[in-house]
Amino acid sequence: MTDPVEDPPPLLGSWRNLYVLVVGFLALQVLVYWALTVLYS
Amino acid sequence: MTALDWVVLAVTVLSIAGWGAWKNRRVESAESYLKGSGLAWPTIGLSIMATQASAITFLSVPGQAYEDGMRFVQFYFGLPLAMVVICVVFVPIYYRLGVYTAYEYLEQRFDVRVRVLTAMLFMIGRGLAAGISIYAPAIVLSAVLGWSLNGTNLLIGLVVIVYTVTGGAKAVSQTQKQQMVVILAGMLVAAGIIAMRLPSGVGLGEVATVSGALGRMNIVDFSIDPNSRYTFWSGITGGFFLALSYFGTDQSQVQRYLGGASLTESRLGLLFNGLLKIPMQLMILSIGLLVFTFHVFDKPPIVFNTPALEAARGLAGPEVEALQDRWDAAFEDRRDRARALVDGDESARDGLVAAQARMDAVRDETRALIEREVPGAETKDADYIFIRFVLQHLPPGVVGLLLAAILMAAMSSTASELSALGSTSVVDLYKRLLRPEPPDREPSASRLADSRTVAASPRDSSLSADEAHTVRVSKAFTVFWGLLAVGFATFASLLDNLIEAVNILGSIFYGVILGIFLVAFFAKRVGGDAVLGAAAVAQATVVVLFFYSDIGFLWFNMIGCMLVVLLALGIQAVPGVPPRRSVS
Repeated sequence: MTDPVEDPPPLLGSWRNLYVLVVGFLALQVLVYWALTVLYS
Repeated sequence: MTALDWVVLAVTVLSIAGWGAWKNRRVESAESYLKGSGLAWPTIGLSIMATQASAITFLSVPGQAYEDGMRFVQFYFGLPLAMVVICVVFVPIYYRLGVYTAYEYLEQRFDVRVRVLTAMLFMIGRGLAAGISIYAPAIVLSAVLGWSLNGTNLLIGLVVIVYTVTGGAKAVSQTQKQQMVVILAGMLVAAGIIAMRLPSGVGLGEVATVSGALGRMNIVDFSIDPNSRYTFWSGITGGFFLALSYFGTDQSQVQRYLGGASLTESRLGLLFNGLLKIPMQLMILSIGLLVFTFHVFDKPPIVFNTPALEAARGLAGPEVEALQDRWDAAFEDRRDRARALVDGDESARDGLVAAQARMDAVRDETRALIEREVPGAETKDADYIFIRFVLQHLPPGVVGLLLAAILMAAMSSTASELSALGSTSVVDLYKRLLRPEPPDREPSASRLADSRTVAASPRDSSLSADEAHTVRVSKAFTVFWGLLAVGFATFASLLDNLIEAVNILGSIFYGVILGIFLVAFFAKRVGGDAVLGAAAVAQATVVVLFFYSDIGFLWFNMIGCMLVVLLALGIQAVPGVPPRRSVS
């Protein structure tokens, strides 16, 4: 059993920042889609 | 279909499959064959997306938006969260242990019984699903294009078997990259052409206005309504559990990212999927909205499974004609009011909704008539909406491209399933139970290698004898699963509600599998006896609930998972139950 090499991601400096980007993008999408729902329904 | 369509279809499908088989004709190692190796994150990401997106996704999702609006996208809201959890928890563990399949980890964490039980649950569910991956698009394409159903099953199945068996997991992932690019390009081209076919004065804003007035812009619903299948809350919770189970424990997905060149590449591939999955689904749903708006101004058939409608017309002509007259009148009313709304007349909105209700009523009556006159005919025709539009309204060449995209979607998801089934069969059953390793061997990464280098075949001259044997057995298992899938697809038409039956079957097993993995990851003290007992009781409970309760089958995922976790913790707390063994 060997520990995998924990390289930093190629952007944003850390994995934590990349995860925040993914979750933040999800939140942004939900917000935009909700606004579209309200606007057109 | 024109000759140009046939050429585009054949060249696109066969060149990509042929390229995948040719490029990977020489097997580098048992590792690259069983789980892929050295893959970069774009290949992993596209491969993950291609595995999940089967042909029926591209056939039925636009139809779903046409009939029910955009709300289905909420089903995917939990997916990005699941990708993050898998990156943080699952992938590092799989890498640290150097496993080929997800189920190998369970032996190292618990014991061989848990590993074999979970692998077999996977093989039952995924083996049936592989047949459906072939059958579901074949039934639609054969009905619409007049192709032979069995011939279409064979075409999809045999092409997949050839390149999957030839190159293994690496060929599957590399081929999926090309296939996914063509699929996405095809869908974008289709969306662009449909947008250009809309009547003058109707742009994307008007599409949103008209479809919104008719209830199709229902993208996000925050209501807590248990009767509503797709809401923000069901998507963020149920979708999260489903995605965690599917991407974290289903070998057809785990195999995709275990083939990464490094932990970083695997994580990036998963996060790529987490970022792009929802926009991709929204794009496919938007194509349905475009088709819907197109048909607000261009009369659609009453039902899109037109062979079934024509069969009913032959048996009950006057009734169908009467329905057709009502349909025509309601359509003209809807079209005129939609035009008025587009031109700024807000007072047309109520009349537009009323005209749509009259059209819906005629559709329902027509479906009932078809069910009565043509027993067995498919009346839930959402799957036929997009393909019917493609054939009737897209130009030559583009039709071939779209059909190629649909066939390749079927092939890509089936290839992942067959490759994963082959790997699981050889790694978790054959190599573990029938031809176990000597006890002094390393448990994982190096166990398929052998110091003796013996040519297995002229093409695989770099493989050791042990590796060559492993690859040969894996190829045999992959052929077996492929033929089983084609056979199942061939006889699937004899069964009713098959797709739903397989979805139910998956939900019955998936929750228990996820529960076993969650206990493995997070309940550090729980041992093999406790989790095995918990899994047995939970599985039996889910089966009893399935037969003797009215609970919707999607909830079985959560129920099975929670039962395993709680029961395992409870059993472990009983004095005398052995705790987990230490893992070096």
